[in-house]
Amino acid sequence: MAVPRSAQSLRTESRVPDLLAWALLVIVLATGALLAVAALAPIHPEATGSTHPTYETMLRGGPGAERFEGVAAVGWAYGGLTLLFFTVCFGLGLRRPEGLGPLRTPLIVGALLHQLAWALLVWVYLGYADDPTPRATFLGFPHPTAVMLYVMWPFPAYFIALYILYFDRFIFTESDRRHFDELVAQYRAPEPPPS
Amino acid sequence: MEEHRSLITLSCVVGYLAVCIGVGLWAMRRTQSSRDFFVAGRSLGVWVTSIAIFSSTLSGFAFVGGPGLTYRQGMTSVWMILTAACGYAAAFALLAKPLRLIAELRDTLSLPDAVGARYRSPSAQLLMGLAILLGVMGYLGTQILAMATVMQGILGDVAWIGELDLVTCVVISCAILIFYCVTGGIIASVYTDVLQGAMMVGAAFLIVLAARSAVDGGFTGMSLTLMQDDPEVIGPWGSLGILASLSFFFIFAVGTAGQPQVITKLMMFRRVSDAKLILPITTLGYTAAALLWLVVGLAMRALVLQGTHPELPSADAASPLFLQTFAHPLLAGVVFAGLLAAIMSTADAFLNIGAAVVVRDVPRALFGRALRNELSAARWATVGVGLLAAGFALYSHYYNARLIALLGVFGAATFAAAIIPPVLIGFNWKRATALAANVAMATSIGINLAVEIFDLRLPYAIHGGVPAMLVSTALFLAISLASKPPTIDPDIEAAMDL
Repeated sequence: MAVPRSAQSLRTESRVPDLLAWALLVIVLATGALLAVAALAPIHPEATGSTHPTYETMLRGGPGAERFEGVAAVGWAYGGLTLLFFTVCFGLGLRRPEGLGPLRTPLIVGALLHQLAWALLVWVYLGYADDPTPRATFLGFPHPTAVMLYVMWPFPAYFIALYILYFDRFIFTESDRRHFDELVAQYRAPEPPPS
Repeated sequence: MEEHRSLITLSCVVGYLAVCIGVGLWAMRRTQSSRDFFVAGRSLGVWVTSIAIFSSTLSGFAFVGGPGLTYRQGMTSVWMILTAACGYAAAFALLAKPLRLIAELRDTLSLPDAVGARYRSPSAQLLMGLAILLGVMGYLGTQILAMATVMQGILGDVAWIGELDLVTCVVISCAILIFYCVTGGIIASVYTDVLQGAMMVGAAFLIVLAARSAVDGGFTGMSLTLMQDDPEVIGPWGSLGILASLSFFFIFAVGTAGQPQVITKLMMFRRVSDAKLILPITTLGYTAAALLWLVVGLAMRALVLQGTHPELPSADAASPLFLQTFAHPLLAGVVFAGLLAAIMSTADAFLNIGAAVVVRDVPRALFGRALRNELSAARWATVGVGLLAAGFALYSHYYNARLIALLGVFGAATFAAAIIPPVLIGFNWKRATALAANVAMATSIGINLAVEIFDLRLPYAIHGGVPAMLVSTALFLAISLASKPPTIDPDIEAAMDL
């Protein structure tokens, strides 16, 4: 079975997978560097909360604006890189040998909107952390939490919709299915007898 | 009233366990070969696969540990469940097609089997098998202990049964689990998962309604109570802050995509095109069931702060005490049965995966061939892995409590760091080499073990699995990019090109 890769595939293979692999490497290294910088900087004593003064089974967050100040930029960048990591992975999975085809634009738009949603969450939180008075709620939750629950949480539905919409016409077409059936006929080992 | 509640709970649990045994017997007739035993003959329908995937992702932790974390930390732990949609989308985009195609071309029955075929490397198959087996022992051990503890609590509440010791409960719960896994293999596992998943979703919706009516002022009242006490807790990062929340997001999103019990099921559905329907159903099912994690923890914290309920003895008591105090007895009974179901749905998947490593991957990697009677060997291996994990769980419980926690945590992080680079990236990138895959897997095992053994704590409560994930992925990519493109078998390459 072990024979060299076919010349046909070498001709048609685009550089997209290598570019996406480079992108993933840069994202992973940047994330590591970012976390190292955060770890080396002075850490607020209540950065990870403290025990509740009355109920010892609960933790309290403490002064939001103060503890957020030192990590706001790192946190925003870390979140942005994490989202980018998933978008690149998604693109790597959906690309064809010739590239991303019709998915290229919707994927870039999705990646930008996802980053915007993330930036919106950080921005709305900044206002929340700065104001110590009781806050208004939206659908049962304070505004930044509402952005987290009602915008960030469902956002992957956009990518799932792309997967559904482009599955038959780009990801795995009827001609791919026929080609695969030919491959199965050519390569598949005979059925093992029932034990 | 309490006796009445206990009997309702017991009836629900006994009914559920009887169904599991029945499904095991039914599935035995459909299990004719090792392919049936490990990948359900690659004939599962859309709904069965979808529900089996999300229910095996949600273990008992989602019912007890998750709400407990939300009660204790506020919104921080919610980032663990917020990730699932990203994780499932990535897993399906990266693997549903190539893994399903390779499974059919090569008749691969396990994830290490597919890794061996992709990289033409027995050592990659063996390393992946070992990483999975180590994680399985820890995960399965924790699930068995959780299963026995839940059973102990349920039986102990019934006056005419009284207190049973943990060993007896381990024996009873393992006997049922192993019985249906041995007789029906993965077919029994996925069909019991369907029942379990349906129970989880139904229970979660009812619990959300119960929580809304229990807290004074509904969800808005709950938020205001939490905000008045500490705005950060109900803010988007919770008490642990933004970096801890994002590390949960990173590691659990990656973790969802790298769970072997999820990935293995991507080899089981009937047609490749079914993937486009399985992804949204799986994601919706998980999201619905995960509402329980979010709502119960926050509601219980608000109820304690409002003075409606006394302080809890521990954060993990949030879910059981909420059910006992605020839910209808029948709903509580269904949820307790659902809790047992959630634990068993994860345990049965791991039992099957562990058995596949023992009878298929290790012999193939070491001796280059499969065992002679693989189905019979698979059944014996299921018994062996189940008994070993049960013995390990009991030993850990009585003699070394840290051991099982260590392997449990090690398992979760190792799955993510060892599986994502060589499988999710490597099955979509022809330039990935066997050497890079082996280095990534060995690195992930090494770093995760070091983090757990030396109890390393990262600043900002960043999850300990993050460094292993970053290092193993970076090494995998860098080594592959620096190497000569590898030789790939033509059928595998053709499947990767489709």
